[in-house]
Amino acid sequence: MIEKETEIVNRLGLHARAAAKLVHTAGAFQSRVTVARDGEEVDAKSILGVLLLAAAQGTTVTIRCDGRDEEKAIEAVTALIANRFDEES
Amino acid sequence: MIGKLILTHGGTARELLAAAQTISGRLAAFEALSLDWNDGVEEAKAQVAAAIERLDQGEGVLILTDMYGGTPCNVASSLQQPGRVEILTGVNLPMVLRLACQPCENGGLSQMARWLQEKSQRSLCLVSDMVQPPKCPDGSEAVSAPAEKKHD
Repeated sequence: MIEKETEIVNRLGLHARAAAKLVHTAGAFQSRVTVARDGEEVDAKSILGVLLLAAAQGTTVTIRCDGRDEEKAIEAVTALIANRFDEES
Repeated sequence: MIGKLILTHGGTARELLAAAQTISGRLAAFEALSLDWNDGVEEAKAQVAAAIERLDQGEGVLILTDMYGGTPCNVASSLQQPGRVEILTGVNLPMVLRLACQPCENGGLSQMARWLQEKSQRSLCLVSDMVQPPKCPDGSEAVSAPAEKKHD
């Protein structure tokens, strides 16, 4: 299992469309992928779970990946967040 | 792939699907059918039956409708076939998004319908129960611990 802390940097935070992109990205991998904030950890492949975090801009979250493609999964998820979910220039 | 039909009176079905597609992107095997308030039962039944035929790729169709006992639900019920056509009431945006974003079809139509029912029953929340308590300047919680969150 590997994990990485990252900051939500897009203006709208982890809102519905961003959460859907996160779920689609995480769902492309076999590994279990979770997102944690302040001790609350949710399945990154569940959109309702991700929305539950209510992670606004500036929130630090921890991405955890566990499985045979965990390296690629954590790279893809953290890149999506760093790229502001492709919704801002 | 299991077909999914959102079925309501008025424009609700159409708008729910549009909202879900705005959030999640184009949804395969989904269709919205908004029955006209003035449609007769036989006309409505013909429309629902035609939608089922369009959506059924051999794995059945899950119909998401608004109210148990309403005309859309009653019309759908007349077309129910265990294993081919299942009907779940109380359709809302979280329900559609859950179907759109999570793979849940491996167990077949009936199992997917039951899975969605159980998940959706836990998707209502009183937001004041969910909000984190305010923090004191030293970072400790000012009041009680956060309420247990029930989503997954």
